[in-house]
Amino acid sequence: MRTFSKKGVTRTQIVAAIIVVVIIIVAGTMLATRHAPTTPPPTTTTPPSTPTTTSTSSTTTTSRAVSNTTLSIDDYYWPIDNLNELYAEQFVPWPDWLEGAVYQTLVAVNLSAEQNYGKLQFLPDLATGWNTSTNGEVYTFYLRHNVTFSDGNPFNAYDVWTEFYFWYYLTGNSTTFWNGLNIFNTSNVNVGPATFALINQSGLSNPSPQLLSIMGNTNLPAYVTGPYAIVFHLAVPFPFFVNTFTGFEGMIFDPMYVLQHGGPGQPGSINSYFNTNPIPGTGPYTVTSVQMDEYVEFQQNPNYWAKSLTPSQIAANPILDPGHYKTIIVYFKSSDTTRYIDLTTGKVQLAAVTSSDFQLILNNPSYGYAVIKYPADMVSLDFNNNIFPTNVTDVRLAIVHAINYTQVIDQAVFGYGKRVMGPETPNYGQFYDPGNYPPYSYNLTEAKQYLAEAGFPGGKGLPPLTLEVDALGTSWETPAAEIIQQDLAQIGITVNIQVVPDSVFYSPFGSYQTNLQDASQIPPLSFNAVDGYAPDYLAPTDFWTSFVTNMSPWGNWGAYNNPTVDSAVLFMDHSNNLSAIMQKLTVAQGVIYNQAPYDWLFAAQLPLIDGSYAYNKQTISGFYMDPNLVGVTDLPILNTITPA
Amino acid sequence: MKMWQPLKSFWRLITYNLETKVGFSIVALFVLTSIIEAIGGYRILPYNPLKTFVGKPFSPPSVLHPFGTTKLGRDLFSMIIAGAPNDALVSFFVVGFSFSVGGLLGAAAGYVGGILDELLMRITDTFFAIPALILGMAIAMILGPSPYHLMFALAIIWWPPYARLTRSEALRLANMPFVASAKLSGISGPRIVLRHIFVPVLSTLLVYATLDIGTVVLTYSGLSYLGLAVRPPYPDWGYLVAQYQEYIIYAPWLSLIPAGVIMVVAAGFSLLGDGIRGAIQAERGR
Amino acid sequence: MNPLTFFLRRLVTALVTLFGVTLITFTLTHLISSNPLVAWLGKSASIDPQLAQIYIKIYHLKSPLYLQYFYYIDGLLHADWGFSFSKGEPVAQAVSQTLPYTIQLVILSLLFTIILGVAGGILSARFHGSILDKTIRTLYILGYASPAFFIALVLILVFSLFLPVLPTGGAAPVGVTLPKPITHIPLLDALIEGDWTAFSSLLRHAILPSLALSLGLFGVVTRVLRSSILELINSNFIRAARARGVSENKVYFYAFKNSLVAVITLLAITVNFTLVADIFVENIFAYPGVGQYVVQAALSLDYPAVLAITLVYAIIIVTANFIADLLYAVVDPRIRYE
Repeated sequence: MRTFSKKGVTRTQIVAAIIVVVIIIVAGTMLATRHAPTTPPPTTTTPPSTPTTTSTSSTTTTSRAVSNTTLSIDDYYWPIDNLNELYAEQFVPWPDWLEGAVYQTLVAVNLSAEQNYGKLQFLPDLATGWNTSTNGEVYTFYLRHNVTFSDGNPFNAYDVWTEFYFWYYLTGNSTTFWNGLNIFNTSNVNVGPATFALINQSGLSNPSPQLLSIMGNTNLPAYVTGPYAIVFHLAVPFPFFVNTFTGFEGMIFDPMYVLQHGGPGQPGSINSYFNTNPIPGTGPYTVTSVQMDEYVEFQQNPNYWAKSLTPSQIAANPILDPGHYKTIIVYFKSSDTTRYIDLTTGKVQLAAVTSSDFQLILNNPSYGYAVIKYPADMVSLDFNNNIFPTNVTDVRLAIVHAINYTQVIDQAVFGYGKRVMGPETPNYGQFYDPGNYPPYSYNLTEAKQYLAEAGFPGGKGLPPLTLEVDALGTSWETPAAEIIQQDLAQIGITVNIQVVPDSVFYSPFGSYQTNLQDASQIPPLSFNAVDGYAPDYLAPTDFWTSFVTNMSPWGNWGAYNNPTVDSAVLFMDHSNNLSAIMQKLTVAQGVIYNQAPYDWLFAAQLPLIDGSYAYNKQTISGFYMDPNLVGVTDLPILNTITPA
Repeated sequence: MKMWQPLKSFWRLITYNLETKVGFSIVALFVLTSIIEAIGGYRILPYNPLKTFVGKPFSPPSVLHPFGTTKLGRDLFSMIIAGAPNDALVSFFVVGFSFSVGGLLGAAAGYVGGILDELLMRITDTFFAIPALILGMAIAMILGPSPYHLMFALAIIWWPPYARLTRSEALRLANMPFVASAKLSGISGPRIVLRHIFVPVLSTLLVYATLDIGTVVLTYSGLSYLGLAVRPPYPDWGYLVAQYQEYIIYAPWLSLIPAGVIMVVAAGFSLLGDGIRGAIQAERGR
Repeated sequence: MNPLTFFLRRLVTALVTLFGVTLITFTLTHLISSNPLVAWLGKSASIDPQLAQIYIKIYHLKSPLYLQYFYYIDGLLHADWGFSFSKGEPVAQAVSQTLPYTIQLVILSLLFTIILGVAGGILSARFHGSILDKTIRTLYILGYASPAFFIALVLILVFSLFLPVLPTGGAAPVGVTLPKPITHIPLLDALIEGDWTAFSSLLRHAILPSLALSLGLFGVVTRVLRSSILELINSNFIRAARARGVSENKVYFYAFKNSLVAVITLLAITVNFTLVADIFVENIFAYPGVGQYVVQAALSLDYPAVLAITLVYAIIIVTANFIADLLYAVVDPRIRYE
């Protein structure tokens, strides 16, 4: 029964043979057409220089060479809202891969000073100079001549004007449309679709007289005084206005392109054409190919205005770097394993590697990774300051002294966390911790004391506290939460960890008012964000307002509020008397220190909190990170990536 | 003599061939472990599965820690055993519920016919069209993560195939002479449904159910993988795989072992079910 | 009952089922969180209150649930599937971009499932009891018992790390121009146009994900085929053929042909399982299909997308069942007289 027929080939055998042959042909073709890896796998002959690599480029004088090879990168997150820069007033696309490479700002941050020395310095970019009036309310920017967008349209003040009012229009005419700040008087603003239609007709290279009079109207918060000069008239003397140009809404794109391709759309339904056809910018690269949720291809822009910068000029203002690769491709790969495999097999030269495989990178001296020496990405354990028992100050103080911070930082983020005393981060000089209070110490005796003083000796009488963890951040949040759970158990507090989907986590949050209203829905303990809270723009007012005042539009999860703090921050927003500001802030800092509304755990030094961008040191020597310290993008600034 | 009969039949069933024996051993091990663990709690385990740093973090399997340790130094072996009761409870409950409630519903609908039958068919169709995973996800998201919530969610959508099975049998049997004679002799409807329709279908249902328990284990693991079954730090097999899948290069045992356990248990039910079916068919002489 | 009535009854059933699906999904997604504004707009929901108001107005977020449902169905009937926030474009557009890739995977995996399942079924039946039979059975039991996400990971490890022959993800590398959309399914289009580079590249990226799907499912086909063939092998018809001197292989072939019916009806169930496993597989391979989209959408509370995709899944499943029902009825006359 089990013998094959000896009568020759049967039909079954023929069919089987055909199948086998087909499989061989297909397999053979594929093996033949597979691409060889672009770089050989790493050898171990490179002597390890320093165990950790900072984001400096060691190429201040060398490497002006442009490699003709392609740089391939694996990133872990496809930009939210794709590549449509019109969403910038919603603080997306995030991560904005196009920052620096495609889009430039009026004012540039000196990346070297910021990321190597912790100094905030603003340099000319698309604006060659600027000045402020004595009362601090009028800012004039002088724009660079002879700059064109990559589509050929010229860059001038009219473009900046148009884009400014795009933001106003797209937020539905909100007074706080500029980075959420209440600094403009918008009552006279009547710029909308009608004006845009006019602009579309007349063009911005040589606007019609009618359009010129509209754009020069000095009653508006922003008006032009010539083709290369634009004036911003604030309603209050906000001292950090120049800083607000480094982030999302400050990225300059070609508004004519927008108008010629269907316009911006409407607030609530932005024109989706630009999702995959990014608006042209003035930067050293252009986007040449987009496959949604897969990859974006960049090519060097041959008409880049700063393409002939000398190496020392680039070193002085690194974000203007014309780039060191002809082509750059950024791939989206959601699985960390595949990104790691791609990096180690040489398919990509730079990859986002997190937690699980990051340990392998740490152990391997041939790989470098980005570390942010002066981080601004704040990670905190948030208290609900309005419901029992976390509304009791001594309970909070007990908790902040019961946590073994070193263990949390070592276990959750590989030791790459800088202890801070918030609400500000260390990179703003004197605005960080005025009063010099130390970060909360790990001191069990003190913790138990506070708890007893609160009336709960040994934790008796306290209900179990829920610690809410966002499902998207479990790789570092869960170990951190578990350590905190055990630490608090030592002083008698029971913690229940609850992992919730990202959208559920954020649903009760919003402005201070919303958080206060929703206080019963906000858990007693939670982490402030999956990847920390990084600046959307570089002014110290950002964190001070967002975390601890009643003017917070976002970020004050625990709905904390204190009149001393409020008035200090308000004063900071509207005055340019620096010493007076610092005096008030010092007092406010003291109040915050004693009330512990939030437990600032650390500022994350790895751009991905528990992971970073890893690269083979034989192929890449260095790069700079986002001037907004991962607030706008955590991917390295593409045009600053330098080959080894 | 008569007492031993059912036991003897049972023994014959489970020792039908090698595969059945293997399947039964796996299932028995799984069930026994779950029961013992459910009763004994964490105390009977070599280490408390929740306690951190009982061993060096990320250590591979060794004599002290047969399954190795996790990122925070927990003993994986203890965690696996601790997670067993969840899978056992959920899978047996869901299938038991589907078996009894679904089976009876289908038998009744098939026997009675008419509108009840139509209604049942439409309901089962609708539930059939929604993948179990998505519905389970939604319900678990609303109610929060817990094995009990998942149990409830899965039970709701798991019964249709059983109803369909018994319904088609009921349709076939309803017109048979012995049912007609039962009706004539005055036996009540429900009794007929139970004794004359449900019972004959039992053996087919049993085979299906045994195979199905394995499927529930897999689906529950899938939901657990998505984080809908437990909250940290409590262990659950699917969740463990999800937590450590990205460590597959650095510490492969952390995800391969829980996944392997899921696989072995599901395979055990599969083998057992196949074997029982073979045994029953052999008994009938085809 | 004549074929037309049968067909119509089944069609009505299908439509009612779909309606029920939208109702259930709608209720569930809204129960999870009734205020998606923060999920959609993030920080700017509170920073730009006017913008928030606009969204509330357009999407009727403050209306009672039944009214929202009504607006939704109304939109559906007018071919307006809503705006997808996780993608920033109309849902219909996003679905039409991602669905072809999923269909590609499903079809390719069905192909693999059939090939592996049929080969396995025939071989294990033909050589039943032998080591080959036992090996095949072990393989498919293991495959069936493995969670889809696990198979995917193992495949990546084996074929991309240990033997770097296949890519770790994506659908096609850069530089490969996608073929003109004729059928809108990239693989088919490349084949039709004779674009060999695109075809082989697309195929390379589709193999591992499809394999991951079919390795878990081919067992169902193999098992059913095997038992069906073995049952038939002792039937009178086959005994007669043997008596006539027909070769053993040919005899098994006859049995196989007659078992096809059982296999065909299995395909409907297989589609169901494939779609679910596909969600996990696409996410691990970063394959730009509906599975990846639905996870993104579910995590960002993108209701319109989640509703649309669930509906799409339901349509596929209902259609597959519909076809299977029809085929079954064609083959087995008894069913027609229900």
